[in-house]
Amino acid sequence: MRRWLALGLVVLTGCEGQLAGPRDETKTRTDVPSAPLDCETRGQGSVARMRLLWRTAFLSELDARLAPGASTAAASVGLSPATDKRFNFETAGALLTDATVDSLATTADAVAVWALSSDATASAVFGCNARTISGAGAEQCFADFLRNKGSRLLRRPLSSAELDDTVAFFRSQAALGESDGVQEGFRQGLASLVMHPDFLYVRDVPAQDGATLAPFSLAQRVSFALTGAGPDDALFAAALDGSLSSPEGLSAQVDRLLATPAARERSQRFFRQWLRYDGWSLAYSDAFLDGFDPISLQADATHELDAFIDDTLWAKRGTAADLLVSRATAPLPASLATIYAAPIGATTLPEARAGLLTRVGLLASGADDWHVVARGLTVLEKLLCRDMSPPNINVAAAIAQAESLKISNADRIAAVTAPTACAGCHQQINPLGAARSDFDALGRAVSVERHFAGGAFDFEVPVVARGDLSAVLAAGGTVDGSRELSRALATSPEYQRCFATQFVRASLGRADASDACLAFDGAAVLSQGGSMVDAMRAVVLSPEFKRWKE
Amino acid sequence: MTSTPLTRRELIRRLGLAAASLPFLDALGQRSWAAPTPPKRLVSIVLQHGIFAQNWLPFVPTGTPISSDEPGDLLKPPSAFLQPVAFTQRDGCAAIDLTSFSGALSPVFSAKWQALKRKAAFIHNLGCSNHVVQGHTSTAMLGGYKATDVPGDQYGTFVGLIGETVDVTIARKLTSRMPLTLKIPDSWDDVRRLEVADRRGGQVSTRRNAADTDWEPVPYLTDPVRAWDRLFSGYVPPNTGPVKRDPNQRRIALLERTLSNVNAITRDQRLSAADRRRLDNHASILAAQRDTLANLTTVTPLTPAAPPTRPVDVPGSVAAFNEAKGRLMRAQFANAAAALKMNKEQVITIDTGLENEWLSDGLALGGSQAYHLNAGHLSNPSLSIIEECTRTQRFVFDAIADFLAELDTVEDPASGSTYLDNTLVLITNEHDGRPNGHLRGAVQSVLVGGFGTFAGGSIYDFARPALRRANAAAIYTGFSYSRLLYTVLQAFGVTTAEQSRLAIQGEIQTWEGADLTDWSRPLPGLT
Repeated sequence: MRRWLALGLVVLTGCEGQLAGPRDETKTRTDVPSAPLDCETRGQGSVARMRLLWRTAFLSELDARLAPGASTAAASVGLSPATDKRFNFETAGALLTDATVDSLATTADAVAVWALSSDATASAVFGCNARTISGAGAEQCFADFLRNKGSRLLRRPLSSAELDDTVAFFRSQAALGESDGVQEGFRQGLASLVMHPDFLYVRDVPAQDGATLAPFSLAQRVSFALTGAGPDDALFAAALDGSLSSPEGLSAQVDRLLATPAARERSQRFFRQWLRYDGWSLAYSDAFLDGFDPISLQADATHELDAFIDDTLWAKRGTAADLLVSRATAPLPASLATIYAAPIGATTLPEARAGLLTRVGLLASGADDWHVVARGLTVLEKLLCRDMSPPNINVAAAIAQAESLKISNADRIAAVTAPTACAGCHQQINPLGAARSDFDALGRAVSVERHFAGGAFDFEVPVVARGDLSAVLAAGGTVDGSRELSRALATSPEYQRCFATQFVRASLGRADASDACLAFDGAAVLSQGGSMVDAMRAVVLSPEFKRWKE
Repeated sequence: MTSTPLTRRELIRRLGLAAASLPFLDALGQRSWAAPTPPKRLVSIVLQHGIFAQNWLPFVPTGTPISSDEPGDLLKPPSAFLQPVAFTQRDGCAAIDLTSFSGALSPVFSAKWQALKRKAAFIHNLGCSNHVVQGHTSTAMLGGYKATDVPGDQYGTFVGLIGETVDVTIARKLTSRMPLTLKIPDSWDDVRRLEVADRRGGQVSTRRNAADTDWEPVPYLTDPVRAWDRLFSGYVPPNTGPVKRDPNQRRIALLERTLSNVNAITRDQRLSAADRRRLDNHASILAAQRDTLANLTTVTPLTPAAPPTRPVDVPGSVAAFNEAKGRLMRAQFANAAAALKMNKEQVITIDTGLENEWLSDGLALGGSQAYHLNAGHLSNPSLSIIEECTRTQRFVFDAIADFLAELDTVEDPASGSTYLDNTLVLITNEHDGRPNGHLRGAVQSVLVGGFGTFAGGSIYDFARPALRRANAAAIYTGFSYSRLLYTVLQAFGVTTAEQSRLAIQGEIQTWEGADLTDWSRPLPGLT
């Protein structure tokens, strides 16, 4: 019922844009150009806009550039999850707030205190025992630390003026300490690097020509896009020796990075964030579950999609269409085998299934009911990149009225959204959701739709999984069931553009219209039968990717 | 004030009479107001979901079932037994003096609240609907804004950017640091997720709007044992340990250094306008924090009290965890009270979790997902469900009463004022008028304190104006409840300028939107 209410908000709030006035069509079709815009003439470039390190990257960079354990120290204080409900490093495009800056300072100090907490950590971080070293040796040690780990932390070399200035800061702080004055210098010196804007932001810096990214800026853009982390040693060296500036050098680095485990891990995070298949609610009633352990099922379903995507993307070098039509799977565990009506250990799903949309991870609703709007929006928003952001309206009465009708989900939502004002959105949403009616709230293939109320069976109606796609895809058409829907989507240019758009968003941490040409380049590869990896490669090798624009 | 005990009937009659005083109350509200003696501390207690209406309102007989026409459809007239409050459909606020009323306040406000009612203002039915903010979280009820349709440039289908909540604003003003946040684990659902997290090496998914991070460590402050460790483990009373360097001076140096680094970029490098704006903002915050710390008046520490007993560690199994939930919550309240009285914290936010289900899941009912589905959202719950919810809600409010009583001990011998007198306690939840729904259309709150001119011992009902306005406001539907939060900010002397600073790009303009031009005064009757 919780989902029912939440869904109700989506349903009717989705109508309100029409009720309140003309809907902003540019918003509902964000950044998925149906035409190539100015990409043919090029030169548009992405607008330079720095990106705040998101929380996991912030923490993993600390570990990678300083020493393992730094992230634990950081996470234990200012970056604690208990407080980051109010401020967090995921708000990449947002301005900092007082609270975030305060948290950063606390975090930076905690990392520095940790670094000085034992002889071992001090040596690992600073390259000398900063707890015991003294005199000129201490200053030299700190200067060496700046040249090596400091530059890696900031993802660029430090100029000699910066080095001198930072060592002077170290010296001034050491002078303010008492018996452990040198430690005070190390503590404040390290904390100042963690607070440094060039650590905190992934910042686009122009090269001397003013039109392209500087090598170190390009290196971090490529690296975060493909691996979710800052440049590794080889990439940093390529930026340092200038080889990254040549097309061949860049291409070699991209190919190298795509072959690393980090790229595979990054791709898994990308797909999880894109498709959100790993965190559905567990509010099923015991009666509906009928013996299923929802926790195990969720874990199994998540693993299945992780493995399916990884296999399709990397092992098979598959296309975006493969994601929507392939029946391959990792050997099925008992829980999924039961739901799929397939043998335990099977590696091919029954014919009723086709690709992502028919897997438990993208079918399980998290509660006894499933909803046409939710399933429709999954396709529209995730696979077609339509932004159906909900306006506001109080829908309790309409939902309550709809709840009393003993009809199918599709018919219920059709009744609720019948007013003309709702049509703009729901002629797109409803057919996609209706076409997915052939699976229940746990992902079991069904021919009748069973409804539960208060944890007990209520009524059932025959499944009619038919959807008219004329308002959804340029090619239009009518589909009957999830499998036909998946096939219709798989080869559509809308889906290909969306795939590329989602990758660009994930790569740059933003959804920006100025990135449309990057998505266009990726989609062009897919439209010619290229693999998803080829499309990713095309995006980061696109001339637009390294262009700097004020 | 009469000392004659009031019957329920008399209470209802007086409530009717209170309607006649509405113009006066409105006039009160028109005055500009600021608490002459601001409280020293803020405690926000957020109860997720809602409280059954008849459990909250003291004039509804205990055990009366919810009638078919109330409160599922808010626009219909009240049912027969609520006719005495039908006048609340008019604009304004009904108020009643509660101090001489000796009957049980309500099924959930047990006798423990009798001693506290003079310092408590019970507030009904403020509009805060359509606040789809991160599900059941304290931010939902401390933000007073909606978080959808946020301008931003995040990847993916995030819900929205969380702006600054009132507890953070006040903590920033009072302490220059974040509030202490204590959260009670939510429910079976949450416990199960924790269990999953154990399997996954301590990682649990707690957010759905991440740009690149679904998996986060288990929030340690949901565990009172770890909260105790944060607060009291190795606790050295103020000014008794060796102080090598003033932490504030160290922080000032760090802020100045960072400011210098930011300024070097903005001064020397070619930047896009967007980047320059963000770095300028960064620099202004760094400078403001540096200045705030430099001007900070040193607070004389109170004589430290002994820390509370360390809570018993809780085994990790689901069953044991559930059985210990009640104890966990009381431990968190004990931690909070001690931290306040030891002057270790000035702003604390306590999220009790889904109180209407978690105790029942673990302690009372033996656990059932169906319980959540029934009690949480059905418009016509059964009497047994109501009774079960009543029992668990009374448990929660008893724990809160004990917490408040713990604070109601003398802090200042000269004036006799207590810690509670110098603290503003805001207790709120997500009630929407439907039983236990959480669309926040008819929020019920309690303010507790004794500072300045704050007036306790009263009930205030804003029912119909709040609801009508909430339903009519197409753009911003949360203003009437936002006014309560605005009142809280004003109590602490947060200025308009300080509020305006929050309205930065990428965040909802919580306090300076057009919605508040007519409503930027405290709620009538509370001063």
